[in-house]
Amino acid sequence: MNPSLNRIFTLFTKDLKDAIRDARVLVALIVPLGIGVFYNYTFDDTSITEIKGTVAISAADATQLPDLIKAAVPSNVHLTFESQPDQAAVEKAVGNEDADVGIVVPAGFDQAVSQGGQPELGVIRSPKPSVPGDYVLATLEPVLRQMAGQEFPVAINVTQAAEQPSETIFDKIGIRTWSLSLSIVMMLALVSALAIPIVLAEEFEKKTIDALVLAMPYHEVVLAKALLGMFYILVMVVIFINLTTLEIHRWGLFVLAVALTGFTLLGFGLLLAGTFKNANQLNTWSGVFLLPFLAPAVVIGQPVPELLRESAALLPSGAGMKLLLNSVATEQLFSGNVRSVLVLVAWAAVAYLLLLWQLKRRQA
Amino acid sequence: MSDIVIVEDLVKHYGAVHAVDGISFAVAEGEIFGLLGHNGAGKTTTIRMLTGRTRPSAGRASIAGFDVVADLDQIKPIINLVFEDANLYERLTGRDNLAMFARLYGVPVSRADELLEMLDLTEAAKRRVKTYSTGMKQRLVIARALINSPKVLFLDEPTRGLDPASARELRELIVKLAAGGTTVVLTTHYMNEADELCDRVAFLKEGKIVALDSPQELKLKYGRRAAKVLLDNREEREIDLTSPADAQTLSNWMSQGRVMTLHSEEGTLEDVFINIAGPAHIR
Repeated sequence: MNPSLNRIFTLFTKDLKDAIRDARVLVALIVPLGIGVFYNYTFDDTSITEIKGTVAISAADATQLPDLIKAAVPSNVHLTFESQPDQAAVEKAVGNEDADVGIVVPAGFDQAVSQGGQPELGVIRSPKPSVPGDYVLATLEPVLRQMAGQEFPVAINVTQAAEQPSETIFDKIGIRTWSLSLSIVMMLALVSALAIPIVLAEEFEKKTIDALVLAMPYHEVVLAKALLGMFYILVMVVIFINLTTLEIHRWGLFVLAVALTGFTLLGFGLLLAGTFKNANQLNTWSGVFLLPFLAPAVVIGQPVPELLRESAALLPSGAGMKLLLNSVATEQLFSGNVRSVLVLVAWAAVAYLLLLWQLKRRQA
Repeated sequence: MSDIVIVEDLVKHYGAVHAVDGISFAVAEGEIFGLLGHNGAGKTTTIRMLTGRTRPSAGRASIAGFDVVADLDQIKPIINLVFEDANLYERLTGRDNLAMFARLYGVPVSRADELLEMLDLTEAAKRRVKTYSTGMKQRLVIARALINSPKVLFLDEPTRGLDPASARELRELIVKLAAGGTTVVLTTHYMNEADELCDRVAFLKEGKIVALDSPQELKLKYGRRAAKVLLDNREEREIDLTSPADAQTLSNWMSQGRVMTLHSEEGTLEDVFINIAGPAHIR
């Protein structure tokens, strides 16, 4: 192996073994993972306009009632009919809140209705308010009139208003997908602005850097730390995706977004490491400088003033979030992937040039 | 012996502060050379420049013919440094610390085991460094500095904080290394240590070399030429060795069998230090 690569790899493997034993680094890695998993189980991408309900039904023989009720409710109400053996079972299902409403259909019901026999239809309501249950009850009369071949006294013309394009990203991709995407950016930010800077700042604090630079140039030390950061990011993102089963629709774009955003933020994180006197000081102030690392990502896709949205998109985590959201959405949400990539490349160049300048200054 | 370390008009400024102000000296191969002076005299800055960790403001220095600025890549494999602080990876074992530096220098990892043995650390090799005593950590720092078998070994206050027995062991090791051909450049605040170890010493004051010679010559030059005599009646008398009259008196006492003990008053390196560097400024 090339001596330079060998040195970088040696320091990288040392850090893999050493840094993970540092509780501060471990916390920085685990926290965003935990938050992401929490979001995953807390939020649901299903739109709040979608209504799901269950109807417990006991029918002595075949009836077209369920199909007619399903057809009569609005299109955003999705009903599931669960067949029960008798009235007692229907009452139990509704009482246990396993069903929103219960229907007991006597034998020969459909025929009796069509012949004007006025059969008795049992309806069991839930003790608690139920929107799907109310929909079912409201549709019963028109459905039964229809079965009886009666004309409805009024011709109600129901039309649905056209949906206005939503301003928020939550309505476009769902709050779960958005939260998980933000958790990935948070993961990149915590690895870049906390975990890796702590590893480098500790080298300065304990003066082990002095021994290192006798054996290898400064820039190789920095590259080894950046490599460690990229490795942490890779491992954490893989674990994250597996735990949350986040659906990614454009893998190439996703990998590019994670790698480029991570690499850029790492450059700024390594700069921070050289600014603080010790790892504890850096840990103390991390909350403050995590804000510019993370806040732009939160703004992306939100109904905020144009200037704020555009400014956020010109910052590393904002540009990274745009790419990430595009990669997890079924259809492209934001235009200008190339522009986002260029923004990240430009910031990466700024970060690493500043880092080089800082290292030269330190040596001088 | 040829000179392996050559320093010519070396200068280091930090803004208006002249940490090192035009020093020149040379160190021969296998020599033990001491840099002495008060805190802030420029000793550590000189070592930082010679080991490539700080760029000189002016002047030049070379090691084995390689310039410390332009040829740093050639110099790094042939030098090493024992730091003032035990700057080790404390969460790793002693062996892991050495093995890592063996890999960084591209030497076989078996060299780490050799050094652990040499410095009596084999039993503790698999323990995390944070469990080591101060003496053990210092020995590990020395082992790390020897991992690449350096031609020139710099030691910055190597015995600071060590107990007398460990300090003596370290001094013996330094002598052994020099006997084996390693050139040693050390800084120390312990004048007896410099006296015992160094072939030559340079006294630094405010960034300048104010004296450079062997400890013996410096003691002769700056010490007193006198002797203290204890007579048979327990009377203590001082003899001026440059005075013919005192020489006659001593001769008489000797012939009369009156001299119980005779001690030269040549002075110590510490006297020389106080004489040259002046008192410390304690604030």
